[in-house]
Amino acid sequence: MSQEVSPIRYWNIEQCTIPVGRVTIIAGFCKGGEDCDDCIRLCPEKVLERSTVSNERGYLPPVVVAEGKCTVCGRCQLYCSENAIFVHKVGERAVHAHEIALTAK
Amino acid sequence: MRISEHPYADLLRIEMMPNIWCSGCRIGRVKNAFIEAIEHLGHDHDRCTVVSGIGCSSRIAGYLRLDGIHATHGRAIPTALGVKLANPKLKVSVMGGDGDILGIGGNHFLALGRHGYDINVFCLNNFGYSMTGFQHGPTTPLGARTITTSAGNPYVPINPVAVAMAAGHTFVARSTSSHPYHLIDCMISAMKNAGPSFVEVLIPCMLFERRNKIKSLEALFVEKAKIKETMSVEDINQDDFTKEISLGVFRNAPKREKHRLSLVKAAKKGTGKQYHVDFQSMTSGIKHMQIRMEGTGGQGIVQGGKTLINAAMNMDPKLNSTLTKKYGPEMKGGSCVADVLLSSQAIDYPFVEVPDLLLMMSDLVTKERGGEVIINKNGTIVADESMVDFSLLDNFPETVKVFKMPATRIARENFRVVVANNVLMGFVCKKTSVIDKNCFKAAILKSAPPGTEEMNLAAFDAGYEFGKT
Repeated sequence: MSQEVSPIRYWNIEQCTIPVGRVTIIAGFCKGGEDCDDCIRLCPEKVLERSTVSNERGYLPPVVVAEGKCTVCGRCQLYCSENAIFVHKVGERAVHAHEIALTAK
Repeated sequence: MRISEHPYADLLRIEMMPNIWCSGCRIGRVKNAFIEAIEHLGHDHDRCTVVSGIGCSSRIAGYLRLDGIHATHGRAIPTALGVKLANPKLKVSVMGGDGDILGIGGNHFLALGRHGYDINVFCLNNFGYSMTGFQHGPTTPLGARTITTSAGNPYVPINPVAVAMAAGHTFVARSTSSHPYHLIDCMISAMKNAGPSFVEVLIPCMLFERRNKIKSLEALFVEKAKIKETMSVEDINQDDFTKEISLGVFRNAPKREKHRLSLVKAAKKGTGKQYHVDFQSMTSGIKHMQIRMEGTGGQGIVQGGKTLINAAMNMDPKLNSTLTKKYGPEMKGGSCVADVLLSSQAIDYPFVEVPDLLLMMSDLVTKERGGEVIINKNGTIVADESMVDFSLLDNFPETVKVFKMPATRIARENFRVVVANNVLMGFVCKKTSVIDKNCFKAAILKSAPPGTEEMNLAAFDAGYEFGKT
């Protein structure tokens, strides 16, 4: 049941901005692999993906595949036990209506 | 970019990282949640302290750039209590595992709820002693395989939340490392609470997963956990997590008021009247004197010995003296002997061999000895009429003086039975005239409990008057 709800009814979409973040991965600290894929699994914007190159301790750290899509929710930073990943806000960008619509995929 | 630009870098000891935890262990999330909670509350970093014991989770104190102590196994809570007592302004938190806080330091955990100091205990429950290879611990589930229970754990685990509520912790909550945002909320509420706080944090341990063929405990926590606003009795009594895991705050109470139990009477302070007896010290001329006081426990034999030795010291401060007490384990009813030695020279042997003055409050000691009364041939015996069998006192040479007086009866009729020893002291003082009357009275005042001085002095006077007849 796809129901098109236009967000324009509720706020002025022209002035709506969301933050843009930069993801930093410290590959030497990461212990990712089969046991831990929290940052990849939990990222709402699917910014990260598993690397194929292992770090010096044999783990597979994530790599950024969608540069500029991070919205600085900070979830990867909070969930990472090893403090190997963190995000900084670098700017803001305007959002388009199709990005924010509730049925958007 | 470097790790020093990490948003948590102010509170992380970067030089100790990367940390020691296994790949897939979620203890680090608890550390992150703790940092977020401190940043949210805006505490001064110099005012926060983390104390930990031994274990995987206790490494958190090492990785945080806060003042902290890495204490011995199980003693994290007493160490934190010491920190809190030394500086009550500090925000003291304890990070420990289930083996540390509930197993080896279990009694300290109970005592903290009783003491009621503002210490936040974060217990990271991973169902066993995982740092040493996963031996079974107090929270290992029934039937779980560990190194030490290879056929399944036969013991029922304890329920940390129920124990904390029974012990009197004012804030009790449960969370898991798979719900860090909920964990931050619990930590903030725990730090705001003014009493002892306890937060149980469930942690997925890789060793537990491997031994018990569980694919992912983290996924299990996410699937079974249910965050609730209000908790019922069933949520507290959850001891196996097969159906659901209730997360949330079980108790958030203000600091407990200290009520005085009605069983304990308020201590009676002095009535305000100050008693004072003047006495004059003099040379007594005693060369060597052995005094023995014997009777039944509860008659004030030891107290009488103390009165005697204090009176002798008041009389002649240059005398050497010893007091030796012999009594059994029972407070009332057993045999009891107090030996007092007074000598002008140094005393080598503190026991009385042949007494010069024998005060018999009862004949129990003599009968236990076989009915023989030991006394110097020039000695004096003072015996209580109602308590001593006089057939024991017949066969003495005439040089031995025997006085009989009803000390217990006088005390019972006029005062209370407990002052019978002072009645006897008054009689002894009059009859022997070794020690001055006022010296005796000062000694009685020194040892009498507050509020009973008047009765004790009156009992002494009654004995003294009886000696005149």
